[in-house]
Amino acid sequence: MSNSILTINNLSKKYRGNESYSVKDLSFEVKEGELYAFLGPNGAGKSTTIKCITGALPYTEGDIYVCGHNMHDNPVEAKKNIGYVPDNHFLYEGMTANEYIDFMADIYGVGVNDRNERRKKYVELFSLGDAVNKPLSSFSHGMKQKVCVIGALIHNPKLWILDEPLTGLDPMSAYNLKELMKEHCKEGNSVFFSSHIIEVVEKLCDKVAIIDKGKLLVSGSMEEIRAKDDDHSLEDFFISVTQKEKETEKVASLGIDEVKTDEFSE
Amino acid sequence: MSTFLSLTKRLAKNTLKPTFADDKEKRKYIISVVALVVCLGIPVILSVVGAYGLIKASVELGYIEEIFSMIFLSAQVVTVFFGLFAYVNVMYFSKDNEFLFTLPVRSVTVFWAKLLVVFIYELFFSAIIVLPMCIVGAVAIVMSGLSLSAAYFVMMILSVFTLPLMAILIVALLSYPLLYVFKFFKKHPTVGAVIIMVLVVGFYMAIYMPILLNTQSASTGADVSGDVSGDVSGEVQTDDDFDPNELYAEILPGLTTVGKYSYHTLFLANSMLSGDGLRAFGYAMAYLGIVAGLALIGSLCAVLMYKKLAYSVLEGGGGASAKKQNKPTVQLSSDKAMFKREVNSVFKNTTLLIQAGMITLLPPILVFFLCKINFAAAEQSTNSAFVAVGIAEMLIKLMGVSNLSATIAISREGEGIFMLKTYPVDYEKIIAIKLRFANIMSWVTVGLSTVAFMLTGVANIVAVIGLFAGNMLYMSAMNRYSLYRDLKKPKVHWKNIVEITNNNISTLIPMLVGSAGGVFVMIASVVVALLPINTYLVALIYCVITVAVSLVYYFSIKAKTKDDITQLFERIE
Repeated sequence: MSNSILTINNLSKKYRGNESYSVKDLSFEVKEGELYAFLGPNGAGKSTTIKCITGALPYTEGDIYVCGHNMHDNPVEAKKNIGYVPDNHFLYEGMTANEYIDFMADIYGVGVNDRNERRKKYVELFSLGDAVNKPLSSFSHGMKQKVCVIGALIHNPKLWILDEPLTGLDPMSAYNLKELMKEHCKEGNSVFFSSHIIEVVEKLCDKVAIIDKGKLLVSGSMEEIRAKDDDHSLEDFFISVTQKEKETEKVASLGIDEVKTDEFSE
Repeated sequence: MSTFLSLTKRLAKNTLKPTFADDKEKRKYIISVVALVVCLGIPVILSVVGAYGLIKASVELGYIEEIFSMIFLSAQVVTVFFGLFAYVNVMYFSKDNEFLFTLPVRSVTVFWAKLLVVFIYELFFSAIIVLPMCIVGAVAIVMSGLSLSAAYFVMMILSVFTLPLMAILIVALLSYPLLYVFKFFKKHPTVGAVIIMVLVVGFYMAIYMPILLNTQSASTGADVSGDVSGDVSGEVQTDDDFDPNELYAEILPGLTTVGKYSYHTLFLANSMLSGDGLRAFGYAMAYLGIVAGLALIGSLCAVLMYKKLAYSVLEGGGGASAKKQNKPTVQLSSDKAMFKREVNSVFKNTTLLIQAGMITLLPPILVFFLCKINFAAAEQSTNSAFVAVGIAEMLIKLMGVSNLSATIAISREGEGIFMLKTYPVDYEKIIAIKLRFANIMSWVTVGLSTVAFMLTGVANIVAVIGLFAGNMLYMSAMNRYSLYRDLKKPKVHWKNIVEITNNNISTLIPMLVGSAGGVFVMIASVVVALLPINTYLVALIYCVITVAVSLVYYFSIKAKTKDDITQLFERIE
């Protein structure tokens, strides 16, 4: 686990009152400097997994390690290494953007000089200008997203987690965000994000994991994935593995015992 | 018509119908509601008994129509007060407008469906004031030897429906200027909340001050500035020749002044109380004419304004001006940052700030006026001094246990609780900070109420110390319990903050438990005052009782809330 930033071992999550698992037996690892994408259809368990990793939700079984700290046994130390951008862009709407950034900096113990330097950089990058002194309640969806990103990066986290980060951003801001993700990894940190935009994942990421119905279907580097499916794009590959899962379930429901696995199986 | 009915049915279900996860939750809810009604029934019965005396005296002294007019007007004022928030929220600030306007339904249909839902909601407030008062009124009138016609009961039922209808149409007419006020509150929540609180405090002072002045002058028979703090020395005089009718004769002219000039409620009262059938019919027609006229003008204006105003709210939100940022950035510890966030989450939200402000400011005002009025009206006896102590106990405890800083400490975070869980801050620390804030809010209430009680000059210093110490301890215990209940079963998946308290047993149970303590100490303090002993000794026994009750609460709650806070916080999903 020398250069591992995030390690997930057999993670399972069942919501209270639910019979079935939302995430079952998930295992993968994100290493230092990696830009890791998490793909899956709607309701596959991506957000649930991310919420378990960030500590927002308790998990039923398994282990999560962030920079060597177990999320269950040592949550505070584990969380200190995470910067999180949720899919709903939650912000305290009574605050201004600046007040929110200061709040996040205080929570993560960032000194005044460091926070002001980073704030200046990101506010310029996302062209927020004077809006930082306006109440967050008056912000649009995209602007809230930008403030969430700044809040998550204010302590320069080792692991930056984003849930559907490109939704609602204008093209320039989306470009800046992708560049920022690459830059964050180049500095020796890691980025783990969920997305539906397969083209972006294909161009941007070092590694990818595909999940459906709470189970990991495949994970590996982009080279490994390409090697498995030479002639096709990641989109074709994604559709073929998720479709295969559906067919497997269909066959199982018909009472056929054995399903022939193919080259995509891990 | 079918569109209107299905829309109304859906909106009414969303707004008014309780939802339960299972039968067990439903049973618990029903039991809690019944228990709350029983618990709150005691002060209600006391008020009804008080009203009986007042109505009976008004029959004998010739003020019966004016008193009924006042009762109806009070019901309308309460309906306007609650209706104002409900109307503006349901009509304009409800998040479903954006969706409803995309449906192939005319905006007029949406308007009438929503108006009907608000009306049903308001009907409840109107009925719980008008029906008991009219029934007590009927008993008092019959006991005075007068007879009642059928018109009394027919108009009683009609009034339950027409009084809130008028109130809502008045609110509808006022909605245009009101909306600007609400928009201002949204942009400046703190200023808005302070204005509302000042208005409410002013409203209560305007109600109680004339009664107090009349009561004081009646009971002292002298100048109102005269000293009524007779028992501070411990020696209390009891006047055995006290005649309540003399007091009512002094109070009633002042009390009924407004009722005399509130023509529509006076017509309603006359239609119920005129023995002559033709006159009663005439008054009823006059009253119903006013209702119909207002309904026509009010609904026409409101319908015409509805879509324009609703769209202006949907368009609003942007355009907020930037704050000047001159202060240098200062680094805070995570504890201080969390505490600041906690304070801001209440003080920068108009709804929460108004509720917090009311719970902090109303108890001292009510303690001052109600204790003083009771003491003056009852001729300043030892017994009435401790009835006043009981009133103060009941008011502080009853309103104190509604402290939303504790009762909905977790739920009011909404889905933001999941973001809070991702911060590198110990869960126990988060809860401790929430409890600290809730306690500060409660202690301010207890402190202000004690000062208010001291200013009444009703009881000696020993009783004042008992009131302060007992309630400080009591509130600390109750806040812990309320927060624990909310932590155990939080309601975080809401769209509108009012959904937290709707049908939520977790917020209801601490109120029940807390009120029970208040009722017990109130009764105990009155019973002790009946003992033929010195005032200081009475105060000392009261002190022991209130502190002992608080200690029992404190330790039993401490034992009951031993569950692992971290685990409870962690399992929220």
